[in-house]
Amino acid sequence: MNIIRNAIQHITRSPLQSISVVSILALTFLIGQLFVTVTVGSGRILSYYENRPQVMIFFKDEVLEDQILQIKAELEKDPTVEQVSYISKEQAVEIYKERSLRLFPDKPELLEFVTADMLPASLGVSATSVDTLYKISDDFQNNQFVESAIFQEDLVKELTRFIDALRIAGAIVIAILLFTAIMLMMVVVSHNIRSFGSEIEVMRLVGAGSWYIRWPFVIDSIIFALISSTIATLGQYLLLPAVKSFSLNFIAAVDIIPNQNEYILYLYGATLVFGVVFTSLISLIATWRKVRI
Amino acid sequence: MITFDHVTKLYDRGSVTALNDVSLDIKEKDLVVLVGPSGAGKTTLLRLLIKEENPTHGAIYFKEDDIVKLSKSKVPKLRRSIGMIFQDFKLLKTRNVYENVAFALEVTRSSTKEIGEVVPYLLDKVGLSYRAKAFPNELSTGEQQRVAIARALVHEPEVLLADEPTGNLDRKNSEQIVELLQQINDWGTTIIIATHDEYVIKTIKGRTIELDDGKVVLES
Repeated sequence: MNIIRNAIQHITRSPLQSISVVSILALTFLIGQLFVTVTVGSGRILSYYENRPQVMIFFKDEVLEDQILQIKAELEKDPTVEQVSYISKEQAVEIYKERSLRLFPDKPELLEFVTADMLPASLGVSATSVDTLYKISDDFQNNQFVESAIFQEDLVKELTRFIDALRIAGAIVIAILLFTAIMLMMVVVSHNIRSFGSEIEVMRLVGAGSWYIRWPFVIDSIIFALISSTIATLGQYLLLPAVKSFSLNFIAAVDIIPNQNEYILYLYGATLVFGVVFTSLISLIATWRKVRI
Repeated sequence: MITFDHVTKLYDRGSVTALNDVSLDIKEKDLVVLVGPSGAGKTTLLRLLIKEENPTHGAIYFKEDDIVKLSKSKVPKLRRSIGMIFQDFKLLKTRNVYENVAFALEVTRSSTKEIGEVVPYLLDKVGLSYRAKAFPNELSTGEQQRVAIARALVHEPEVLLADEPTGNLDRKNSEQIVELLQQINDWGTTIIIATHDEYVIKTIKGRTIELDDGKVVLES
């Protein structure tokens, strides 16, 4: 109990320093959690695109449905073709309307002038072999019925490149924040040790053990980690709907975190464990350097 | 009980000699007064005994143990066996008399029951029961030193070191502290006092060891 009381004394004796440490730790943990969310979410987005038809063939307006279905049947004969899905002009309008309503619910006028004639019918082709997809894409680029053929590998590549860049940037930001947190905690723990210099000197002289002197500083750090992890997780809980909505509307029609509450609980647990280990190690190093027995 | 075996302590990479080949024996229940001018090595000798520092050469024995070779983990136990008081008392200003004495027991995780028994007993021994709730800045210097003595005695040390215990006290308070130290020695505690206070040197009944320039120049 005395050790806990001493730890609370340490924190309350320098409240501004304690707030600084909690702030930088909470920010570091929050960015770290966002980084994890981006990593998990981008994995799901990539998987979503990789499992979608990878070549989209858009037909000219004058091409009849029977002709398209004939092409579909031809494609389905190829054993390396996994699936061919037909989207008629009417279905294309429905998809457009559904997405427009979701993205711009306050602009119903966007739907008024869109008719089935304005959108092309299409076939979506997925295959087990990339070579097949290249061949289909090349063949249909020059087909007389086809307006355009889009190979989605480019999209996946672009997305992968973007996500990789995001991960690298995130890792750099987190490394900088962790370094700042380490330095700040070292300074604050060292300052605390100095401000308790007379108590520590008396403790040493009357025969206190090394751990009795060091523990309160480690407990300070654990308290910092508990508070910071909780603040960061609350921030993450508030930000997650916005992140999910952004991903859903602008990147892919996929829910990146389906079990939000379960995910937040896991994240909280992981942040707590990391935070406690991280801050305890820093304060142990600081006390090891500054407290002489 | 305590043996200094050819102990030398050098500072500043050997340019300052605090103790120079000092050898001496102190027996159980001795009352030793270390005398000598400032810089003679008295405080260094006491600091070596509680392993605040290590000698540059030589060995220091406390009973069977060589203090120089004592591992860090055993230092707290040594410091419970060798209590120490200082010229500046080293009391915690934010704690009252009772708490200052109790603090020495708290840090060794003594039970509340033990603290409740030992602290009043010691405050009574040093004559400060009636000042238990006073803070250090409300006490006279003599009273502060008596609190420091009570604190040094909580672990029932076999040896009590006193570094210039009357250095900040007037004559009346010095008399009381000398009387108290003499009394503690009578209870069976070995006492080593480092002082250059003439009053203490003349009054105290015990062995005198004179240090000068880091060497023992006289033993009686």
